[in-house]
Amino acid sequence: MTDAHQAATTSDHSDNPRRHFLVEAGCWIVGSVVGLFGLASGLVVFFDPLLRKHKVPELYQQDESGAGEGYIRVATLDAIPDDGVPRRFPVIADLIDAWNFTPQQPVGAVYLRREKGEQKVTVFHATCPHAGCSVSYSADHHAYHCPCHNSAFGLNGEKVNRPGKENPSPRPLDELDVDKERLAAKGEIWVKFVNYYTGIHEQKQKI
Amino acid sequence: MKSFFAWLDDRTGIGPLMHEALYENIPGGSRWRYVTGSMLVFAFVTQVITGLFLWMAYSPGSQNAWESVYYIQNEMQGGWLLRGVHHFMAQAMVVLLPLHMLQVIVDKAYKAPREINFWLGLVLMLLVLGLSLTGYLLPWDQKGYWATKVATNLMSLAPGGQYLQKVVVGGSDYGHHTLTRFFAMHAGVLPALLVLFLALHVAMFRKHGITAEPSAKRRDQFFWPHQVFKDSIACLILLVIVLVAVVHADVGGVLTGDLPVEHRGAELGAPADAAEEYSAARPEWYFLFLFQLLKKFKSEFFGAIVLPGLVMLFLFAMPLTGKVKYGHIVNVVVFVSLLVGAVYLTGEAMHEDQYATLHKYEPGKYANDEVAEKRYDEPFDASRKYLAAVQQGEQEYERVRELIEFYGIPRDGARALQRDDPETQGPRLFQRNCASCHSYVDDEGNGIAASEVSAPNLYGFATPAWFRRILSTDDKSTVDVEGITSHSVFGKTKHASGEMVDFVNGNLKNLQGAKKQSLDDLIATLAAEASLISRRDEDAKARAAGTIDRGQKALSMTFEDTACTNCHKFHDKGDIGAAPDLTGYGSYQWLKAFISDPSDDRFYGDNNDRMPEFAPHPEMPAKDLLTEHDVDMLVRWLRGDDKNLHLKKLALAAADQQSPGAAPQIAAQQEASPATQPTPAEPESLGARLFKTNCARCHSYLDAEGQGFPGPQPKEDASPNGGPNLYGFASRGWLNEFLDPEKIVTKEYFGNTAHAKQDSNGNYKEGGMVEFVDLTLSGLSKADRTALDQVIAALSAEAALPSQHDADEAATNDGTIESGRAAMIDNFGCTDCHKFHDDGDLGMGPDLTGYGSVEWLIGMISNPKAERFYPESNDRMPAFALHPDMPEMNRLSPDELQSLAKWIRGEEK
Repeated sequence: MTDAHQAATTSDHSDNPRRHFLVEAGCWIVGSVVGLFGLASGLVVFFDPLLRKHKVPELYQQDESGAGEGYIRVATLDAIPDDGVPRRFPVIADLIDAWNFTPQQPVGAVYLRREKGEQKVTVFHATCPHAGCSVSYSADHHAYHCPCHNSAFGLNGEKVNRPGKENPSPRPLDELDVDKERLAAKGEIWVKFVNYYTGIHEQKQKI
Repeated sequence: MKSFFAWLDDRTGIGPLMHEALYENIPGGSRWRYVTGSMLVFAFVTQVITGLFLWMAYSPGSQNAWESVYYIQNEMQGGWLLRGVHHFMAQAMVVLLPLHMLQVIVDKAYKAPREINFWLGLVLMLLVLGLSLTGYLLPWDQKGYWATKVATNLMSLAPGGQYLQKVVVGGSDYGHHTLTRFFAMHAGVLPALLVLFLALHVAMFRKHGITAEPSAKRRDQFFWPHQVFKDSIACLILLVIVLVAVVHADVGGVLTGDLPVEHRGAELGAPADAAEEYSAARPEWYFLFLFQLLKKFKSEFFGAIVLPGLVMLFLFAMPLTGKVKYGHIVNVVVFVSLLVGAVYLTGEAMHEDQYATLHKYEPGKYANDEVAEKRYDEPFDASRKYLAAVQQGEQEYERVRELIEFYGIPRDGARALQRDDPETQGPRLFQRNCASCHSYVDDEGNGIAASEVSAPNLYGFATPAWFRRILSTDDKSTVDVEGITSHSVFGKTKHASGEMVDFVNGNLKNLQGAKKQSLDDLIATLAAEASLISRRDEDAKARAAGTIDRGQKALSMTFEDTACTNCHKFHDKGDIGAAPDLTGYGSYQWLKAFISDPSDDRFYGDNNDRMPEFAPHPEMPAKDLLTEHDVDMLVRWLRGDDKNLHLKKLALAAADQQSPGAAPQIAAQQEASPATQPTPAEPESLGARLFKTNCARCHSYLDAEGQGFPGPQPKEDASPNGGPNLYGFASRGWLNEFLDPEKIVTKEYFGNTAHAKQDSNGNYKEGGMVEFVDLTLSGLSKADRTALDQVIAALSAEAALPSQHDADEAATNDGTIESGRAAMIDNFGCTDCHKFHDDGDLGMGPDLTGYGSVEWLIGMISNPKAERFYPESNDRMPAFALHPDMPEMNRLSPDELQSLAKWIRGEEK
């Protein structure tokens, strides 16, 4: 404690206590406004991702809207032999990464499969619903195996158990929707490519 | 609540600390003049908070820095506000610093026992200035880039400064590491030091208390609440001032909710480009006085290092000199003079930059006195240059915004967009290469003026107005536009008194009725040849109305006694040689070829007056004045192809429907030629034209009688570039002579290429075709000769030439082809070097599979360096269509390749 402080304790009490209170309240109010402004403006920017809608540059905007929107062309029907064996295809789409826009980039992979003589194609997301690793099809076992843990899935995406191992996946492989109109009309496979949360029982689309 | 504080106090001892902080005694009570210190602390805290949030969105790196700041500024919610507060609060700190210092000095707070605290304050000041300097570079725009470059260049003047500079910059030139270093300094090192010194500064201030003369009239007060209240009000005022600056004082815009983009926060310039000097580079305004000071001294070393060093020395010595009698007075006087000086220099620098807007220019004021005139003009010129650069910078930023909205930002950064943007590059290239003769000035007189007009004003090239001007007589009484002899048409070229002028002034004078209508049709027709994107609608209308059909006829119709096609070629009418070809006049290809080589027969030939050939060596681009990319930029800018990107998209879409994947320019042309129009050119004439403009510089195409294109003519300064004569390519006759030891070395075959040459000792090049022919195919036995003929038949059949159709069929039936194929492998070992169907490998000699077929020729012309042709040994042949995925970057479109290949093969329509 300094001498000055000692002296001060005896000199400041003649102020009007009511005025004193108003000034103190003023300090709190003005101080909060001033002090929190920077924080608030920072937080607005910080939470930008929650409300962000991605903007596609004009050149790459498609005029097609309405039916068939949101589907990505993955392959033609001819590219998938009707032998019931799943085949892996990359999903190519425009990649928006904050400020960068890169057209036609691989953004994921799917397995396509066609039964003998069928025009119908089943599509599975190539990501394991357990922890998000990339599954691969094992022709020897006629099943999809996950390289990370012990998940395995049958040809229809259903969970199967590997011998002596428990399957940790909370749900079957995620099946994706195919645009039936385009498939019938042009023989092209357009897939609604959706990413789901992993590790939970229900199939929930990522926000 | 009370018990919580009691608990907290018990565990931490925070109570007495807070008490000590808040109940600091202020002798004489609270005063407004004491607020500057708190304001600085407030400003700094704001900077830390806003800076941390900016950090979460900023990416240092020369392809990301500008782009991430652009994203903060234009895309992220509230980003511009955050960045604006950070930007203007930094400036507020620099303003507050000298005020705080002034208060300290006037109140004698720097004297004993507070010397050390004063020095700490000076260190804090230097840290704040360091933060300003490093922060200015981080957006990586032209302004920050060039201004900071000046600062680091000055650094090299100090003793040992070159090393210091290299360390600071992170290399010999600006790049990724400059940004990572500046960013680490700005966001890490300097703030940490600042916090440290600030803590010492405040602790020291607390130790000695406030410096105030106790006054009888004013009672002592505690710091809390009266001084705190004054401080918080001052901070609020500061915040409001900063916010008003952030919205550029456009409070109305904020209230109505439509604040224009240019009023949103801190300015961002065009992305930094080391190749484009920014002549309006200025440091941030609070460093302007240093910038101005530099101009006052001949020696930059003195102005930038010695003098500021002396000032700092004086400031540091103040607590000591203050002890001497009158020392304090001197300190105050010197400090105030320094402030006044800095303010004056700042004002002077701003005045110089704005000189041309602040003073009225009177052109003839010193007409008689050259020296005085020069002195009068100088500040105007300097200021105009500055203002023009500022304006150009703003326009470039606007353009980058358009480009980003249209294309998005590629991984190479926004600069890559600018480099490939005709609207950005065109004017620069024009300024450098064309503006010594040509101007580019619109009707209002805006644009690029030629340094000395001697050639046409190229504004509106190939538009109807352009043709109108050329085809108008000078008789002002009948025509309300400038005529052909005005400077904006032929300038001072020899054409200004040439035949075209005689024709216009003689034959097009006082046209009436049908003739006048024909001239109008003709103008619309010529304008349509260019297929300008901006005129798609007008061209389509003219076509639908039959104007184009009539105009095409009018081109070969006589005016008085002469028709256009008497001198000009237009599609299948007229000949080239006498005057520029009007076929596709002003189209992308036409203009590109014209700029590349105006002396070509297709254009002015020998009549070319002074215009340089900017890119006449497609086979050796290094010899050209302009690169292909440069010419591409110029052409697209002159045509205005990319001016309105929205229109461009429409044109691209329309063209894509017509012929998917075709080059946009070509496609635009096709788009303008629907079925109602006569076919623009038969395959032969199109092929011939393409050969002439693209191939004839090296190749000839002459039949046995010497009819066709002669190919390269020896020029005085260079040996001819002789490539093979392509007449009858891959036919039996052609191959027969090619495989003849005597013929293969002639100009007709390997000509002057590397494939024909022997080395200096006269030895054959290893693995050379010539060596093979010479050694293996000389003096053949009768059996071998027969085998070779079979080989020739088999190889020639690969081309499936229409002219050899019957012969090929016969050879297939009688087994010649089969024997020939076998002989290629067994007798002659062709497949040792060449691939031929299933035998041999690619890589050495060209693939003989399908040799001479349309597909083979297109491949070869597209990219002779491809694995299949001459991957290692291609000699000078350009790749005419290197980018199958980006046809607009190719010299030839898919259709043109097809026509050319067919023409070379002698296929009739």
